[in-house]
Amino acid sequence: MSDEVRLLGLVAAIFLVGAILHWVYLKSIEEKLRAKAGGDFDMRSLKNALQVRQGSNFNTVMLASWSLFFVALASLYFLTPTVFPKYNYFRLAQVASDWWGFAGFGILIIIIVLFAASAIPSFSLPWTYRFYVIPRSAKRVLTPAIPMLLIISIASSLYLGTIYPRLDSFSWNVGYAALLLAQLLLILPVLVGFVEEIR
Amino acid sequence: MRPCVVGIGGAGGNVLKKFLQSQDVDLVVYKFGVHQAFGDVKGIWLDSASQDADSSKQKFYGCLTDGKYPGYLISHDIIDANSPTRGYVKDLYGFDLKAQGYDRRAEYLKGIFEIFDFDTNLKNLASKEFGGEMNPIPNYIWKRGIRPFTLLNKGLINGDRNINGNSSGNSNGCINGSINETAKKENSQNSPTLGQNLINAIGSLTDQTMNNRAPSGTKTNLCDSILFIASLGGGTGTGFINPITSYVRSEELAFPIFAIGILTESGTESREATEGQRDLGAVIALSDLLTRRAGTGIDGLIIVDNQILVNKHKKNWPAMDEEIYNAMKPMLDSRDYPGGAEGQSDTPAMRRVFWEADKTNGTPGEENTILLPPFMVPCYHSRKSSGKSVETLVESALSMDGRLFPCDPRKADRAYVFASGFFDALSVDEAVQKRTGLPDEKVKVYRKIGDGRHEEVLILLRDPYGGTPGAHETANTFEWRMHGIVSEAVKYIEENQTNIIESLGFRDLTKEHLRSYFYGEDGLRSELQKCLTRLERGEKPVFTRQLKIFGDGMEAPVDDATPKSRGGVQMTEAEIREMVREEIKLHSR
Repeated sequence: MSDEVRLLGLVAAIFLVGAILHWVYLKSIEEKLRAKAGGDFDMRSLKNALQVRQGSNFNTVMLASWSLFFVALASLYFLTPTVFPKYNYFRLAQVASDWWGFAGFGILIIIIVLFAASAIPSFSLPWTYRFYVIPRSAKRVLTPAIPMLLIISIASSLYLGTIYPRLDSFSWNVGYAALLLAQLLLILPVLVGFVEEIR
Repeated sequence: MRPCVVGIGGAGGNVLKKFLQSQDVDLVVYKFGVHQAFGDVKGIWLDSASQDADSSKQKFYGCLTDGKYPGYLISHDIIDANSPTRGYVKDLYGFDLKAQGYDRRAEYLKGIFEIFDFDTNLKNLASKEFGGEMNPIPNYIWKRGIRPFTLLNKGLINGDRNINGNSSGNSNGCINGSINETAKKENSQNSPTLGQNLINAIGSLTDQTMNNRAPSGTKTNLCDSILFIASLGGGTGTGFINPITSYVRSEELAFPIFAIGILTESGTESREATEGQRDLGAVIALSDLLTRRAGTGIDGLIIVDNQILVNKHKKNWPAMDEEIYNAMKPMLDSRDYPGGAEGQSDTPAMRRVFWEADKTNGTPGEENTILLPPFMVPCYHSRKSSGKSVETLVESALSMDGRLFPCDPRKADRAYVFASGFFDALSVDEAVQKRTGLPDEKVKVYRKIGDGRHEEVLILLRDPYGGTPGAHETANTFEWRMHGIVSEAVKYIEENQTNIIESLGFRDLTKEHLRSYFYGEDGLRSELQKCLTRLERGEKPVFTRQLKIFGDGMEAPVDDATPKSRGGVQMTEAEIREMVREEIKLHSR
């Protein structure tokens, strides 16, 4: 197994940890409330009670960021045959080498992500922010930082796609580092909420 | 509780800014969807001085009639410079309906609003000029300014109002005109392009799908109550708060309406209004607000003493405004405990609880006890989530440092507790009972989940005074502070007859009515002296009788052609509305 695949495992592991922390966060609140408020509610009403509006600007940027994240991830791993020789965009050589080839790839990923997010809102990460009180100061940091990191990652992948079959490990590493950092920032509200909850 | 917060006058506008500060991030390049304030509250700033609202003086509010949000509304914009109604009022009474900022005296605005209830000719004139509306200024404020943000607007104009912060309209000032005309202009001037529509739709869709539930459990962004904020002792807020709340109440008998009154600090302030003059304004406003029977005025006055905030924050005005806002946050927090057992989101139920009474409440009336709106003294404390006992939190809130108005918590006849954090209702209840001496059934606890970082408690003490003769001599009691204000007001009335009556421009008719209102046998001076006696004896309530400058048995100036009253009971417009409603109900059964 190559290092790149192991690093993909790290991305998946962070997702998993984020999902677990979110679940623990909800369970912890549920337990506290059952102890204080009695057991006269179910998880659905708890989720309803916890919801807080974050604002349209923040929501729009975060949804766009999650879409960009998957575009960045797919571009890094599935644009060129470097990591997965059998499963990559370059197997559709004619489409990939057209003038709109890279853009088409990105748009396709965005459509898939948005469709998946809308189809299973309870399980998709962009929707989880509504359960956390995110201070405006944190929003001010997250909203510009995440898209910028993802654009760096996507730009690195596009560069790798452009120079292929030449390889450039530095660009790949930059793309991955930016992607990982963006992912950590994307789940930061969950991490902070969890820490505050168990404190 | 999700109120439409209405800041009246300069101070009201400044405090409202804190309530409306955006919880969303500012993207600089574009704003998607709606402005997001804490607790999903909406708001509007009402002022009478367009120069104060000018964009060169403040950047937070835009002109509401231009479709801007957060927005301000200039109350007299509905009155045209050459309005016949304005001319009539000027000629007969000496009041100017378009005076910028009106006047620092509460009686000026009180007089202006009362003549619209009192003068038949004026009503007819206004009705002719304003399409059937006999009291155009409060009507304009209500229908153009406040109602569109409330649930009451459903199905009336266009449903939920467009409060897109990005709408671009005429930025050179407000557009005058009727509601429909303004709405038409707004539609034609602010028609968004296809691209803008698409971007807004994305913002709205994202907002709706990522928050698929309105906090109150309803699928609407509209407000379920109204919360007025005004300084008591200033100019516009003091004069406006009673006429506006009364007008709104006359339109909507059961809608929850609360008010926050901020009593100005002692001493002469920046605009050279003396303490006596400001205290007189405050007393007039308090008396008018708190002597309206249940269902005819506000449902409770949350009273704040600016002097306490001045001492604490050394005249750092934004910090003082922030403290008032922070204190109200537990009440506005939309994260109620699940299950809804405490009825946190049911504001009408909360309103009923605020009016709960027993034999000890109210004013003795002819047959039954007359219920009058209560004073609510807010006591607040916040700390970082620590897992410490709720007792210490409650103790801090009820301590001298936590009270926003001087009082003795043991004198309260009810306590409404808004606790934010993870608390056992019984522990909160017991902690409050222990420190107030109230029995279990007189303490009502509403719990909120909060933000996870802080634990907060807001305790509204209802009418925390009375029962102890001579309490007005003890510093930091409610009676002491109220006695001081009323005494100053009486002193001002006695020493400033010329300033009060002989004001430049007042016509003889107005002077006669003012003289009677202030110095008549049953006038304000005499009534305030009775208030002082009640405070000294430890009696409740402080204010019992509503006084009018115009009305109360006086005859309106009438044309010969107009049939004179035959000595029947003179009714206000609000009372007429209520009577008509009752009649309609009776016939529809």
